[in-house]
Amino acid sequence: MAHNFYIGFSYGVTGVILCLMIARTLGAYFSFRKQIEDEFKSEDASKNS
Amino acid sequence: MQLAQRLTLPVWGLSIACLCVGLYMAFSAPADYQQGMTVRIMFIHVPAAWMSLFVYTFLTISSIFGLVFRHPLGHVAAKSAALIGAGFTLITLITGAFWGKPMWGTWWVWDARLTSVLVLFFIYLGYLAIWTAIEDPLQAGRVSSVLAIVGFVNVPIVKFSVDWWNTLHQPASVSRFDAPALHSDYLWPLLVMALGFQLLFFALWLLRMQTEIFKQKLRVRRLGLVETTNRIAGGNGT
Repeated sequence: MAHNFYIGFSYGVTGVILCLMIARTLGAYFSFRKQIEDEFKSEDASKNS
Repeated sequence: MQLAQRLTLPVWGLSIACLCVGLYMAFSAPADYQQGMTVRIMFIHVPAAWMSLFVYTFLTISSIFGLVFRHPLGHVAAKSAALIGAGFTLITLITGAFWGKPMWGTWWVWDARLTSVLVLFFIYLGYLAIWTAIEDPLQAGRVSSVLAIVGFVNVPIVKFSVDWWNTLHQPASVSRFDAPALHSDYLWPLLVMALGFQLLFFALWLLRMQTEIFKQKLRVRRLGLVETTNRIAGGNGT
């Protein structure tokens, strides 16, 4: 029973750390990609006008 | 950049598939005659420990490319790997403590293996702190590369600490010159999980590389805009 606690906690902590890393990476990626797209969109719009 | 974009999705898919299969195999593995079910901690602790050393080696090689050969992607590759390496090292330390308590009767001992892994974690944190503290990416790249190269001394110490000193931590069971001392019931889930962690690292690293390139593009563009504005403002003033 006590062993289940150690196993569960180890897998749980690993899952949390990996999820945080994945969320942080995906968040930054989509945020900067959107910024780049917006910058180039505004540049195209100003050229066309 | 295009290659990275093309590779990202397949690598993510493969890593998730490997981790799912690895977890299934890990929880199907029989109980160890000494450790019981606690042996299952090995399937995350050992791959995470391998990854912490692999990522640091990768970071050092990328730093050498950036510092010595002035490769434009050298520092970007190293910076993108650092947080992932720190994450794997933290997993190693925490799961090691949760494995140590039921097996050794203690969460932590200041033996050579555990202490050198803790030092590795601090080196990762120091590396990341340099990138946060120094605004100029060129200077941050140079300073962090020096730390990465000097800090590489710790990698062989981590690997061979169990052979060089008398430690509570057991010696290597898989990466030995003769055959692995691990039964195939445990070896295969361990290798599949290690492959899953490796692919997850590459999936995360590819995304972080692309993010860093986006950041640099934005920085260059904004600096260019500021310069143009300043030139116009200077021109109007005279």
